[in-house]
Amino acid sequence: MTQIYLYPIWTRLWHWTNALLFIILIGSGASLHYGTDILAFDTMILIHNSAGIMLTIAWVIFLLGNLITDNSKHYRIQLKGLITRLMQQSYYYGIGIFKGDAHPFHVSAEMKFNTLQQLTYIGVMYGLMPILIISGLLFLFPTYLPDQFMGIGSIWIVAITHLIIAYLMVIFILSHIYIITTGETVFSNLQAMITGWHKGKDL
Amino acid sequence: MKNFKYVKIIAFLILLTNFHTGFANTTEKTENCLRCHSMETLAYRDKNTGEVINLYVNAQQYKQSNHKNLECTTCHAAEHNEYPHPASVKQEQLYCLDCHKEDSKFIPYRFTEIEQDFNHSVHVTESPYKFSCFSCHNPHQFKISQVGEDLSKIIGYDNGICLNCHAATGQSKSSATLLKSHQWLPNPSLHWKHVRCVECHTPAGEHFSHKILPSEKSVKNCVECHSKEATLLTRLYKYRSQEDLQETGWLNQAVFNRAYIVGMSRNETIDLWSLIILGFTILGLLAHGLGRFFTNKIRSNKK
Ligand code: HEC
Ligand code: HEC
Ligand code: HEC
Ligand code: HEC
Ligand code: HEC
Ligand code: HEC
Ligand code: HEC
Repeated sequence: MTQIYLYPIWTRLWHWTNALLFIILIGSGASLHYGTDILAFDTMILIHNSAGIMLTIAWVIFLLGNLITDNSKHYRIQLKGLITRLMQQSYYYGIGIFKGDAHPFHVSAEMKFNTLQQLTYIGVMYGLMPILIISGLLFLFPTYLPDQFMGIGSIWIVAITHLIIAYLMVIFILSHIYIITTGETVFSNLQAMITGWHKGKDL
Repeated sequence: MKNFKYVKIIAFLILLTNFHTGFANTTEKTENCLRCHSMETLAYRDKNTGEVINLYVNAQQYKQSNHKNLECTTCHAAEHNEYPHPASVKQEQLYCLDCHKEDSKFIPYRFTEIEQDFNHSVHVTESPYKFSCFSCHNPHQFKISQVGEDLSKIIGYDNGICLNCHAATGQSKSSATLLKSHQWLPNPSLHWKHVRCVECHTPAGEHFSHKILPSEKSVKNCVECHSKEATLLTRLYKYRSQEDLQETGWLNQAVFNRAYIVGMSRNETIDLWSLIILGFTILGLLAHGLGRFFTNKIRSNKK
């Protein structure tokens, strides 16, 4: 059994802030969207907007963190053997995992994500997040939008973009929560994100 | 007709001269009329129709109205300076457009367009009564709403105009009938606090329209506000946030923005498909988890 210190304190704090904000945003967002009245509508708007702004700040911190620290190395795509690694990983999740195969990817201080994970995180952090944030901010300042964009109300476009990304984020969160149970033991990855130490016999 | 000419000439002269110097005596002359006409009880009963003609002019509101700089006799015949008023002025007919049609200064207010829309509104085409601008606008109190004013006040003011007749007790259209005709709408009184009657009863467009549509053509579809319909929504939405922006600064607006209304982002197709995909995701993950659990069990049993 070996351990490596994989998640420095700032990534962990950032991660759990994100997690909390995601829960708040999904809950309040769904309530605004479907018009439930768990809390007064105005309160929900306040909560959702505040959490959204905080998530934006958290995202900027993530960008800065990746600029300042060497955390960015985990987000560098290694093109060589990309397809093979993706196939291996998919085969593992689809079939191998049921047969008790060994995990095809080995976590190291150099690379903490397997390729599938890495591509997903890049997609979420550099693809979905910016769109989510921009549409959210436009929602806050509709005054500066043109009334119409290509014959459609621009606010509607913003609303629908925000909605679709939000749905994708929910799917991401659900898969994320599930996939972390596929570590050494069901809870080992969760523990790693709390303590910072990744444990594993296969290191 | 003689009076029209008179009024026009005076208005023309006024517009030629500088308002401030030209109106040095305005208040004094106005006060002279208000001496009698600011008495709330000043009224008489028309001998022919039996209707009570209210002669009261609210001095306070007059001084805040768009016409506050005008003398009474800019619009009314100068003969009113005499009392008793000569019989010749009794038949006086006034009309907003008489003064507002030609002057380029009033172009932003789109009077010609308003007149056209008004002439096509149900009140003119359907109503048995004779409608004029003054049915809705008291010339002595008329004040247009400005973006940035308290939104609830604007809504209250505008809806007050309509409710004056449509919710007046004792008339054919009492507030009970109004609530009844809007029964399909959840919580009509809440809606009347947050949207203007004209939002549903006039064609959606960039500007406020004076063309009141017949009830069949009025907006009944929730989705037009609570979802995507661009113009109707945008008109309302913009008004609100601009108001918020001016009132509270941009930071407050960002956090407290009230621009969002229920179901803004609602779209049935997207919702349906997203929920289906979400459902399958959850099912897939559950199945995967169960699969892991059981295969794991089988494997450990084998060992
Ligand atoms: C001494 C009081 C008094 C003064 C001053 C006075 N009015 Fe009148 N006004 C009346 C009364 C009383 C009536 C209703 C009887 C009538 O028509 O003569 C009336 C009626 C009117 C009417 C309505 C006519 C109708 O039958 O519809 C107008 C318009 C009017 N006045 C305008 C003015 C203007 C403008 C001034 C100032 C230049 C003015 N009045 C000054 C007492 C006054
Ligand atoms: C912008 C033009 C304008 C100005 C300025 C104006 N009025 Fe009038 N006034 C009107 C019009 C138009 C009517 C007719 C309304 C109607 O037909 O219901 C009217 C009607 C009246 C009436 C009769 C109400 C009735 O129902 O017949 C009185 C009295 C009156 N005005 C007094 C005044 C006094 C006093 C002042 C000055 C403080 C004044 N007006 C200033 C346009 C004006
Ligand atoms: C006798 C001519 C006359 C009549 C009738 C008249 N107005 Fe005016 N109106 C004026 C003049 C003159 C001004 C400019 C006043 C000023 O700039 O202070 C004005 C100003 C306005 C303004 C713009 C105010 C601003 O601050 O720019 C509006 C809106 C307006 N009138 C609406 C109406 C409506 C609605 C009616 C009919 C109910 C009406 N007017 C009847 C002469 C008239
Ligand atoms: C059925 C009632 C009704 C009638 C009749 C009516 N109006 Fe209006 N009008 C309104 C309402 C409601 C508003 C909105 C007031 C506001 O908040 O500025 C308005 C606004 C206006 C404005 C301001 C426009 C703007 O874009 O802010 C003008 C100018 C005006 N009316 C002129 C007229 C004229 C001229 C007539 C006659 C041809 C007329 N109105 C007849 C109800 C009416
Ligand atoms: C001066 C009184 C008066 C005012 C002010 C007034 N209305 Fe009306 N309205 C009437 C009358 C009278 C009718 C037609 C007769 C009827 O159906 O009872 C009518 C008809 C209507 C209708 C058509 C009803 C149908 O059966 O098709 C609508 C819609 C309507 N009004 C909306 C409004 C709105 C919106 C406003 C405010 C901008 C307004 N009204 C202001 C008196 C008024
Ligand atoms: C959410 C949109 C909406 C709003 C807001 C709204 N209405 Fe209506 N109204 C309608 C529709 C749709 C109808 C036709 C209902 C039907 O035919 O069943 C209607 C019908 C009417 C009628 C004719 C029915 C009757 O009573 O004979 C009048 C008058 C009327 N509305 C006045 C008003 C007034 C005044 C207000 C503001 C206080 C108002 N409406 C606000 C949508 C609206
Ligand atoms: C003209 C635009 C408009 C139309 C049409 C409209 N609404 Fe609304 N509705 C609003 C606005 C604005 C509010 C107030 C939202 C706020 O600020 O809380 C509201 C509020 C509501 C609320 C209360 C939400 C709360 O805050 O508690 C419900 C429920 C609702 N609408 C349902 C409907 C339904 C159902 C329909 C169709 C039958 C409909 N609305 C049609 C504009 C509209």
